[in-house]
Amino acid sequence: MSSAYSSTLTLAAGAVLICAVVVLWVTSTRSMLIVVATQGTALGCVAMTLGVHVGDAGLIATAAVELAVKGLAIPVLIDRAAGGALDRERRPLVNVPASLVASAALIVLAFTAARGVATFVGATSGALVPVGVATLLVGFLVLVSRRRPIFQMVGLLLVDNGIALVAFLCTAGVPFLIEVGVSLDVLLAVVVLMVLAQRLRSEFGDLDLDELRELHD
Amino acid sequence: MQEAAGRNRGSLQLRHVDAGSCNGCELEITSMSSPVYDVERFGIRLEASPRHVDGLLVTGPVTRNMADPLRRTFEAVPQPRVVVAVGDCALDCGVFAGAYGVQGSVCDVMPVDLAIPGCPPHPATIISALRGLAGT
Amino acid sequence: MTADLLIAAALVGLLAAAAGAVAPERLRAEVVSVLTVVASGCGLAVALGVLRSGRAAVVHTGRLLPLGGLSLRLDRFGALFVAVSAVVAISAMIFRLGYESHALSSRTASCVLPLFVTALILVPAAASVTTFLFVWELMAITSLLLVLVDHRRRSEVAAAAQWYAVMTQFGAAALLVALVLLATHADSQSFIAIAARSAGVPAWVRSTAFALAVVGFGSKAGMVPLHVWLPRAHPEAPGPVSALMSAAMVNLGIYGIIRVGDGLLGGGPAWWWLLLMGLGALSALFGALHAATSTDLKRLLAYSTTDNMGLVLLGIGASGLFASTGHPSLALVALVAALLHVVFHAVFKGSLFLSAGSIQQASGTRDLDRLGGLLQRMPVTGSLFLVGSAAIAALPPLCGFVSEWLLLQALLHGLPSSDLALAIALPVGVAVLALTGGLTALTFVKAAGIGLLGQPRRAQAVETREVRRSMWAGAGILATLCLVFGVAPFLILPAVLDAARTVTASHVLDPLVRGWHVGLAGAPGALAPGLLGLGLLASVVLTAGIRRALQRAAVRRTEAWGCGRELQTARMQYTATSFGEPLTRVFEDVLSPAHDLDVSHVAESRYYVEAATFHTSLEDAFERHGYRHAASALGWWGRLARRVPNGSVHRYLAFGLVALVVVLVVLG
Repeated sequence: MSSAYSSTLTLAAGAVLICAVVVLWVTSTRSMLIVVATQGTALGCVAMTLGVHVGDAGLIATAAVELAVKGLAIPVLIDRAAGGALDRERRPLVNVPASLVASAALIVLAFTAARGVATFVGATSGALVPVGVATLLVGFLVLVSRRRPIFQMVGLLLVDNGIALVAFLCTAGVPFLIEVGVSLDVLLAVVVLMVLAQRLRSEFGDLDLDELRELHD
Repeated sequence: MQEAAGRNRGSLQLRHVDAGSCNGCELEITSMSSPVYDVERFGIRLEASPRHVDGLLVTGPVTRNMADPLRRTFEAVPQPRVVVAVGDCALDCGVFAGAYGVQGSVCDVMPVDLAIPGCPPHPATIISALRGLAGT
Repeated sequence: MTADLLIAAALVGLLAAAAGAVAPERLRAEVVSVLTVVASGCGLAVALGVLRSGRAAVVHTGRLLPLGGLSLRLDRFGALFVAVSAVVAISAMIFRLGYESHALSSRTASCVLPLFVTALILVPAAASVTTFLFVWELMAITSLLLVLVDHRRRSEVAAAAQWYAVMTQFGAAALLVALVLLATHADSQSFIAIAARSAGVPAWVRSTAFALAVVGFGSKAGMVPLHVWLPRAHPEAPGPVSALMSAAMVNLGIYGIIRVGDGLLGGGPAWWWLLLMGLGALSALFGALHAATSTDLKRLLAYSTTDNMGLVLLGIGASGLFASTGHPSLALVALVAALLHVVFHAVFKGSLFLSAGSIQQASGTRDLDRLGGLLQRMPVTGSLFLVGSAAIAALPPLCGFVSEWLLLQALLHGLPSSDLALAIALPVGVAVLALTGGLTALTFVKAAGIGLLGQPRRAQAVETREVRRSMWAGAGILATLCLVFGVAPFLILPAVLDAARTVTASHVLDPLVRGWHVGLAGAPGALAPGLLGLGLLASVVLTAGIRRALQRAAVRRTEAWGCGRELQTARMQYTATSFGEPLTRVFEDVLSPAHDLDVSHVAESRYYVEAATFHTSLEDAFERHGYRHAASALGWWGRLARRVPNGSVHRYLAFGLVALVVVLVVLG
């Protein structure tokens, strides 16, 4: 049983990280939405596995919320709000091979830096904490290197997923209320960013965030 | 005069004031300070500040412009003080009597203790007169 | 009992601050002054109690301040400085009662002034690193706010306050590093613990801490090259505040250097003290030179503070040098001389600044070239200024003479010496003392002669009247002390000796001659200030009596001799600029005066001059060659850094990512 638990957990966590790296690779927004949905589902699975293993009903409820929001609601929202007129990322600030190499370096860094936490938490969950940190760093990389607003949003989602993953693994669950709150916050952020992206597109046409440089003195 | 000589006892400082002279008397006064006549060996010297002197050595008639400065200089000399008038112009305006710029002679402006006539007086004359005042 | 008084002093100070903030405008000055005098009085009482009994006043609470709580311990050395600050504060507050200043009566200023005085009293009592830094910063910030009170009326005040703020924070940063370094190596932040464990601290740490402490405290004391704020800030502050800053606050820089060098670190290698002597000599000469050529009365006094503090540093350096080469008795004497000079400087400089404040308020200007004839119009203030000038020029029977004489004795009796450092440093020290003594005499002949004597040089000075009684009473207290200490230094010498003994933990028994004389034990030559004063008085009375008896003619009053000129105006007198001009010419390389001659010709012919304007200015050489370059380099660096945030969101996010990665690398 414990081996089934540990292998399920490892699989789900790994899926989260793999999805994060895949985001760096894809350029088409349609495929990216699928990746994001997958990642949300995987995160929910992690929470579910933990909840079943520990036997905490609250955690299972949280997992359900995760699945609903991050696996379903957010990708649907992005898709609907964009209305299909989403462009490809043609010239990212850091090109795809380079960003993949960078993500590899960041993953190594995450594993090195978080091993202290890993030994502290112990057992299976502990070993997977670096995965969460890595997801966070890769999400940050996405924020830094992609021009289109939708990628900014995806990066934010990745960062939040990474943090949530670390939270689940470390403490075997976050209190239900907190998780609901955070998820709703992310939902709100997504909605706001989509509206902003629409306005940007109608004002400036071609959406390239790097060209907006008013924020300096 | 005797009293002044007794008071000075070989040390007499004077301040020279040109009240409007033609500078003839000044030349003779300069000669008297030269090594040839050497008035300083008798203890008689010319000083710059009227505060440091025993009296004034005035030459020339008193012109209108120099009347006030001459009077101020006289006021600045501490008592007991003497006034020595050198040359005919200082005594009675000499050749400049009645000129348009001349107010009067030195005797008209202030009490004179020693008058040395001459136009100009010889340096030796000036020295011997001053020696009488200095008491040497 | 003494600990309670210390707490009482602090509480009354805070009460005075609160009262100043809430009192109505008519009563504000009186309420603040009275309460601050009470607080200073409590401080003085504590200090005298500690000096007499030798037992330190200790206050320790775990709360009130983070990182260790409030820890105060007033020993004899600190008590000396508290006593000095308290006396100056009392005089300044009495002065304040009569000082009419709308800006100083504002709520902010009335609240901050008592806080400043409280901080001055608490700094020498601080006994742990956090308490010290907290009270030091309180003192710095309150004094900065007080310098700024007049900024609406004059534009130079803001620039002066800027210089002051930057330099004081720079000094505080150096202090912070020094004290934290020592505390880390001693594993405790209490001064006693640091002093006990300092022998085990590695040598490089001790030297670095000492050097940083000299930088930090030296900049507060007005040591060259960190003095540039002093001649800017002290003149711009209002009257009582300048007196407090120059007579009480700069002493705390000296307190810090001695506390760290001798108290916490227990002495060090010879090069420390040679460095201090060098800086002291440089400060003394530079300050004296600029004071002698300055035409602004308060700027002159500020540079004179730099000069005197340089002499004190010279004494402290000599003391440490003697100690490190094995002459403990001379070391103690040199330290006593330096501390005595600190006390006496506070007294006469305080008096001078308060009199200068009176002059500034009565005539409306600080420029000596516009003053004159003030002795007739303000007889009391003028006389007090003369007393202060005589004291600072080290004339007997006033106090400056005693302290400089003692310093000179300490330096001279170190020779002949087999040690090379001593053999070179001491004669140089004596020469510096002599030169600055001469320059100081020149400076104050100028200040007193041009400012007080003669005729008023501009219309402003004609209208001046004597100031209110409380203003000259405040200056008068300090001037009286000049005379009292000059004639009877035995009143204060034992206290200074005890203070010096406490901080250096010296076991030398009787380095000074006992009784009414002042002198080194075992060395020929002693000074009897009391007899000297009596002798001077007797000779003056005798001369006046003989003259009156022998006088025959009545005194005749007539006008001043002006070459028989008809038109005599007050402008035909020496000005302060002309008085200092020969000195400016001789020391042209050091002072670098700037001359500007602007001639405009008549349109018809270039041979006729229509108007000519001559402008001469004397800028501080360190400011021009050192600080302006540093400021422009900083500006260049800032402009370069400004180009980094170019508005791109990705760049800003990248900053975050890089920071996160760096943190992870460091932690991993």
